[in-house]
Amino acid sequence: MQCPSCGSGIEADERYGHFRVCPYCQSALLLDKEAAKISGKMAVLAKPKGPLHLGATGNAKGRGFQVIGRVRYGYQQGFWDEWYLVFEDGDSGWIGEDEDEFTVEVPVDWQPSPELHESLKPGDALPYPDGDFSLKEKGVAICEGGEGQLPFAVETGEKTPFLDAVGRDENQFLSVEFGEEGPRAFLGQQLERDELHVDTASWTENRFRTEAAEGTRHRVFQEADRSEAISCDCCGGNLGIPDPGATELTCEYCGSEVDLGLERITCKTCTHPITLHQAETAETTICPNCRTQMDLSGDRTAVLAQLTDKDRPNIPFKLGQRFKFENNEWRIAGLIRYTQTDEGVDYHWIDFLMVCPERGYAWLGLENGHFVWAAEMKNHPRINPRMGKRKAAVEHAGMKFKMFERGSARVTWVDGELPWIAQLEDSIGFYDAINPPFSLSAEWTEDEIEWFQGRYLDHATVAKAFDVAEKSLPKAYGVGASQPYINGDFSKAAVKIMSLLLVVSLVLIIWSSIAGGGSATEFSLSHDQFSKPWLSQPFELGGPELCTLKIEGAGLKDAWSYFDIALVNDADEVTHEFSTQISYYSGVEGGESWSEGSRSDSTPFVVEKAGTYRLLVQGQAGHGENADIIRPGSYSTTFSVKKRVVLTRYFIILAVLALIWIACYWIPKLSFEAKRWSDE
Amino acid sequence: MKKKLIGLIAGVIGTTGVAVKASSEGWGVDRPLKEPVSIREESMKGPMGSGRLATRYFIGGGPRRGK
Repeated sequence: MQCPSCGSGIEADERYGHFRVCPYCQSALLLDKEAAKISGKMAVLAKPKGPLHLGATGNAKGRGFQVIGRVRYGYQQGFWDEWYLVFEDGDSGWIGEDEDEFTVEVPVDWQPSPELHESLKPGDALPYPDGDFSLKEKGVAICEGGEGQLPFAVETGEKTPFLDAVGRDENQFLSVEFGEEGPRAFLGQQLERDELHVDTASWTENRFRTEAAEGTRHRVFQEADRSEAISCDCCGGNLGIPDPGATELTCEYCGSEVDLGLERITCKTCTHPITLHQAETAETTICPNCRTQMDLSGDRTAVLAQLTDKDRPNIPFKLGQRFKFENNEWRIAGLIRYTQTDEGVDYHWIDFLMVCPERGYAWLGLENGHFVWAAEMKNHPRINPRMGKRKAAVEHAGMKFKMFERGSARVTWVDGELPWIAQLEDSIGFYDAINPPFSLSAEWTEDEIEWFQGRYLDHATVAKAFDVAEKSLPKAYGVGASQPYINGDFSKAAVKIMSLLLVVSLVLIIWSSIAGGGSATEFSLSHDQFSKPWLSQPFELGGPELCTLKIEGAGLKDAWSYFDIALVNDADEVTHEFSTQISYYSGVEGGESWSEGSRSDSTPFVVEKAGTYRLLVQGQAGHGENADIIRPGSYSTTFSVKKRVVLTRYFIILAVLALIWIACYWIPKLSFEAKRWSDE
Repeated sequence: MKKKLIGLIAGVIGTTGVAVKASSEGWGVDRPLKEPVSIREESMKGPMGSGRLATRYFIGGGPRRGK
């Protein structure tokens, strides 16, 4: 078939659609069996930055494909590409590519109401009948153009409302486009980085050929004919022309490492060199010299805004700084400072954007000197971030979290490169739930919600990753939201042992208070009887034996009794002497009843020799300071001796020791938690 | 850590053992007088071996009269 506009031969497989863009003259063609009709002109699409391109072959989750078409959509924060595929089994499908994230999708038969686009908010559940999806993003895509063969006609500038939703598990993804012909739904999965493979030969050939031809950016390392002098990304110092084969340089002025393999541009305003750390997905970058914000979404850089240097945050790292974390090499590509204003007070935190060729993007949050490493979640939790009180329990992937904070913040500083167009004063809503050291965070705008799983990093870990001294990092103030309370394994094990000891002690306390070999003697004396010396009936005691003498004035009320008691052996010798007093007062004062003292007393003693013993008793009783002014027979006192008893006091000491140990473990921990949850 | 834990467990068991021994043997409680005092000369037992005792063993007493 020939292009009716330029006459060039064009290839198309009618099984995969009736729309084709002429690769030579960019005419948009509607195909039928015999001829092609021109339906318009298509703008030349910006070259792809990622691994996919027209004609590319590869596999997604092991399923082979070939790319036969592409549509590029733009929206407020940037753009994304939809790649039209033919799979090895003859089916067709799509791969969506947005900010270095890939989804593979196939059409599904679902016709949602267009009103959904208006009524749903990011985070809301989608009424899709065969799955549990929540809305991740909605917006209106503007078609920037298409290329190759497509299953439907596209028109540059055409506006298409869309919904993107993610599943709760298995990286599920659902997108809906509300086109003029009706809604189109696509179901698929978000791909992990190792699930998309593009044949390298076609990638290299296509990609670098077009880059070299257009010449708007250059990859110093890739170009054989290296003839340009390099300037340091950090200080701008002239490093001369790198040696052939060199992959990096060390700046002789500031010591920074300059990676020659990265893509570089020059500032549109001041021509300062700017390194792009993730050129494939960067959509904006800011000149480190003059703070011109540039749009990188097209083939050619364009000035977006001129930012000021006012209120520059003090950051502990350099943009472009490389570090090793968990066996991967990362770079700091950019940063955003958010500011939350609460009751007139500004609170700031900084999110550093990290890039790693093998892992993609991650964020390193810094707030009050506390660091949190966070990565975006492909599966969104079943949590409504706009609902729930503080400390409310939420669960995700088998982990329990507590809602920590919700609020709104605005962007007050941007620097470096970012995979979307972030502007000052952009506002977001945020939500944090914690299970130290882990956290679950959401950030949302009117159109989009993103979830992140975070992990608190202590200073030692950060210092090791960046190969810097701990003291060079910002001092941590207070307790970080997801900062774990660090207890050594020994402390944790020890407190368990001490808890067990406490239980054992309590059991022993109960046992000791009821243990004993029984009563040796028990008798009661009235006041008249004990006011003069009284000798009890003989009773038997073993030896050696721990006994107790108990005195109980059951009827004692607002009075006291004092006793001198002697234990007398069968040779009429006093072996033990005791002096004891019991008193009990009670009343009602101001409508409240009160009492003080005790009606009984107990004294332990040890008998060395077994034998027959008696008690010699003499006592006094009275009210207040008046002794012996007791109505005769008004009450009696019971004296008893119990044999083979067990003392409780040593078990109480044991329990107190265990309690002190447990308190030493828990009090600092509870204090730490109180600081964490303090409103300040 | 293992050594410290073993030490702690040994300490806990030992302390518990000492507490049991001290509690059953009555460590720290009154022992018999070293020189028992006879009350025989001044005693006057009743017919059943108990009852009023004409003794001066106790010379007064009580919190306000002093012993």
